[in-house]
Amino acid sequence: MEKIKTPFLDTIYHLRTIEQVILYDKLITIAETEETEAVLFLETEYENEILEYPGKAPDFNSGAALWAARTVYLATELLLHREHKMSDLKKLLPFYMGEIDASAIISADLCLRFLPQIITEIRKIDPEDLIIEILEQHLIQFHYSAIGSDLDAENISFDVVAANDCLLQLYVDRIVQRKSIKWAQSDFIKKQLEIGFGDYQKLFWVQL
Amino acid sequence: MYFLEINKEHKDFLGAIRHWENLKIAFEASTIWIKEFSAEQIDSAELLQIPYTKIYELKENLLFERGKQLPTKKLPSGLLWSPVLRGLPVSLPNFNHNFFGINQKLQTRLKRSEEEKEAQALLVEYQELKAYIESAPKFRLEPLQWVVIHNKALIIGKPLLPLKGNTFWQKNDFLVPSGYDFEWPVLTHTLKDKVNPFDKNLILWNKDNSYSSIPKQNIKPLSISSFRLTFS
Repeated sequence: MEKIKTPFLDTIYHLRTIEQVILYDKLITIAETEETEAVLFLETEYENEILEYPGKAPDFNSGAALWAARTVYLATELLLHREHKMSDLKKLLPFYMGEIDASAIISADLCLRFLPQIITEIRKIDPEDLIIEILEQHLIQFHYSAIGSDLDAENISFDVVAANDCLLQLYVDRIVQRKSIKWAQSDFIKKQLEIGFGDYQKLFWVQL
Repeated sequence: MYFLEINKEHKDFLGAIRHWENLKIAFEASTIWIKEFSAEQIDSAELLQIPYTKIYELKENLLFERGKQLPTKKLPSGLLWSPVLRGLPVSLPNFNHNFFGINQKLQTRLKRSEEEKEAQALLVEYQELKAYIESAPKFRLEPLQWVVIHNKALIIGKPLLPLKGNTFWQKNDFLVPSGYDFEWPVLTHTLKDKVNPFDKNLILWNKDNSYSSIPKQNIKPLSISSFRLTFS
């Protein structure tokens, strides 16, 4: 097979267009040129998605989008190829450094929304893999991407979500779309759901 | 449980209640029996206007005439009950070869109707919709479809959005203003064959008896992006 010159970019491109992860190489270093191109690609994807977003969507946050793309890419690499020591993992999957605001959360979600499925796969192979814990910590910070997964949702804070109307609506929409009873338990979310449903709760979501 | 008894010679009077589909009818030698009246039907004007009837109430297999304390008779046994429309079929009068009024025309008109119908479509001003939709929850838009008519948007589906506008109820492919119905509802089907022979359009009726044809293929699912792309 011909060697792919831009494995990271291609993987992210497939993830976003056909929602499949295709890995080309055992590569876990990502070239800088690929990163810039990936950011450009993600930005166009973002522009397309915000057409559908309620209200005024926050600006694209390239740092967060790239961080999420890297995290998802490396998580899948690590799912397939494990030649690394535990101590390397934290370096490979660092925490997001910038401020976690609505813009960062929505931008990161472009790729991060696929992470819960990857975690499920890792768990199938080895339920005690330490990488799960690292990835789940990321998801707790970016819990918008984890709605509907079996992540421990008890201690998450809704401050950032509540601060931005667009993100708040997206958050509620996703809970309803995925019919995630578990995520609809907190009082804050319940109130938001009531506002959205009005008189028609039984029509939209019978089980709630 | 109520029973109605009427002599066979007065059968024609039963035409007034023939359209109540819940009724059952049975024939005896010289009388006709009808049963399964609902509580509203037994007191309705349609029934009370039928002459030569006797209405009985059945208690412990005895027939008590309505309002009387003593039983009159037993219910005859061996009655064969059938749906009322089968017992009293509609027959068309013979063709009248001497009728020359075939040039006469009926004006299609809407009139106010007492019957309550659930609204199925909503016609709103663009501005009104814009204010709501830009921040609308996705799940409220998903069951809906829409089409733009001049500067207004016609939203079709249930549950409708909480917006100010004119509502319509649906009868086949006709959207009729809420609170109105056709003057001759029986002719709806004939009218449909004339106005919308291939079922390709949705017909939006206005209160002034005019209508607009909306091709069904122009009706699209409602979403924020659909709205933004249409009006940008």
